[in-house]
Amino acid sequence: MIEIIGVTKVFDNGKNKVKAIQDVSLNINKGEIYGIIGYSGAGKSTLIRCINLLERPTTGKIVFKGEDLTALREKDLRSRRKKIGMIFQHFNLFNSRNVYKNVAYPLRGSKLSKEEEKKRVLELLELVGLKDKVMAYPSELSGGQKQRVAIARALANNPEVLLCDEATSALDPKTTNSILELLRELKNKLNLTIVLITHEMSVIKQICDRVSVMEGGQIIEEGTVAQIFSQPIHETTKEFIDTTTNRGKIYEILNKEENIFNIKEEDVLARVAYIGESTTEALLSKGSRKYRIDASILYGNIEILGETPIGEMIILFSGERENIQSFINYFREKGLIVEVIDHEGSNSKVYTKCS
Amino acid sequence: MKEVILKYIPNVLDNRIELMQSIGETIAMVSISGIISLVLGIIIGVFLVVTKEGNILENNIFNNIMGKIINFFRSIPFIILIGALIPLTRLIVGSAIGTKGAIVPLVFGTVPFFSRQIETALMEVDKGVIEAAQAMGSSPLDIIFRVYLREGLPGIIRGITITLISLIGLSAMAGAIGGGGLGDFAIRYGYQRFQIDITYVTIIIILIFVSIIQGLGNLVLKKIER
Ligand SMILES: Nc1ncnc2c1ncn2[C@@H]1O[C@H](COP(=O)(O)OP(=O)(O)O)[C@@H](O)[C@H]1O
Ligand SMILES: [Mg+2]
Repeated sequence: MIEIIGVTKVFDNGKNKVKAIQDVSLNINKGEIYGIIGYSGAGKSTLIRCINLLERPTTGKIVFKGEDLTALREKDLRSRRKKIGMIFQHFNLFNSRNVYKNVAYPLRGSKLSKEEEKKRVLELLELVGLKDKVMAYPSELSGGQKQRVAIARALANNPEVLLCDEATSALDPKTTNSILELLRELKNKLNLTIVLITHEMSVIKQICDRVSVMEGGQIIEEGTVAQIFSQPIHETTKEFIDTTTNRGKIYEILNKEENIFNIKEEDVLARVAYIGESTTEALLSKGSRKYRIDASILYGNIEILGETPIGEMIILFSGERENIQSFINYFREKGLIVEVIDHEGSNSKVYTKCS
Repeated sequence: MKEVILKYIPNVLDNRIELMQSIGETIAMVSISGIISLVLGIIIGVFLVVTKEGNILENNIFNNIMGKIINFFRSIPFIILIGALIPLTRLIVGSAIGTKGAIVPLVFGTVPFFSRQIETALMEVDKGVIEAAQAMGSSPLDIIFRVYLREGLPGIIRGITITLISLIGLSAMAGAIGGGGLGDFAIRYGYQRFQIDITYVTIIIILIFVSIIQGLGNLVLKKIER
């Protein structure tokens, strides 16, 4: 669908040159959600803006549906841009126009009658779930609502591709989720190809099929999301993956001076993990009753990569030692991975991180 | 009533016909040169913005020359500009005196200032919004008319208000030199004949003009600002 071929972008203001993109090549397939992740300044925005030539590559080609966009005349490029929608971190709505007029903006020149235009705008607003805000002005909308308007506007001319430049970075986590869900839903409904850039691994995890990691203007790692999560190679990639779990944090808390979980000497702390479908919760309450053990979950996390859930918990067992041991054996019999975390009493800092 | 007027502003009463005429001349000067200046200023202001580096019709040479010309005219004190423009004024309107003769220098004195006002107003339009329009396939002409001039409207209205107010000031100066308008009236009677009440009444009238313009500006802003 989109081929980025050997693209380099150098910003040259006369005095100094910034090499924002260095020889990047990527293939984005029809119907996929392709993520590009990287720290601030990595060159993500520049790269995504190269796709619709908001930024003209210094060298290299952008091929969209078999056609080299960099070779087109301005007028033809403009008509292709109507087939490549774009949304932004700060929404970039027209503040002087209400929601209706914002969405209708790109329809001008599309030879729709007033009636058809109205029908299309309402249809788009329905699609993004904002039908009740037709007459509102952007200043009267929340961030999430603004982004919905921006999405409706970007989709007005039935684009085949949607470019998202940090589209959820200005939103709170809950709104981020709802916007990502909307994007996924729209992708399926409209058969869209989505390219999104972000600095949040959680966004990639939630909706992307494939992902590139960018650093210093280059793609340092690329693959399916499951591949990247299960076998990250580059240090930066690992850092990004760590940001999506709190595992590091829990060990930090356990090793703090004060014993906030009130762990006693005879208690047992263990990391319990499973791959694929699991009934851990049921096993936990069943085992807890059976062996008369209090089991409290200090930490829990489930990653869903592709279709496969990978779960992890840190559980504090308190009760009779033998019973705890039986409980753990019971877990192991049921196919869970259990690793006991060493500790010597409540005040010592010897909780060791197990991998 | 009559006694009060006679007591405090006797000269105004004596010259009321000429006062009315001066008011008319001032209105004529300000509105004609105002309209011409607004049109020219908006055109030049738009060009100043869109030809800037990185903008939709980037053209460094044009932008530089335009900027230099504007600065040149802005640096000439208006009273000197009037004199310097006499030959051009004669050429264009046929006379360098009277209300008619004031139009040319007023336009030259106002356009550079107003262009900069427009430039400032349009620069306030969020760059991201321009980009969004570009990404939607808008042409430069579309972006000028449907984005810059529309999104920048509050700033443009503010610029127009300030410009018209300063134009009233300039019109008083131009009138005093070439003859005509409230400035001329105040100088001839209030200043040269020491009829100070005429000066005061003129000030009040100009104050009313300024208030009306400011009030209208604020009204429009209130309507359009979101
Ligand atoms: N218009 C520009 N002029 C000069 N340098 C730029 C410009 N845009 C981006 N850069 C530089 O290019 C690099 C990549 O920027 P960007 O693509 O915005 O990164 P990201 O979106 O990953 O944060 C940065 O070093 C930035 O300073
Ligand atoms: Mg960016």
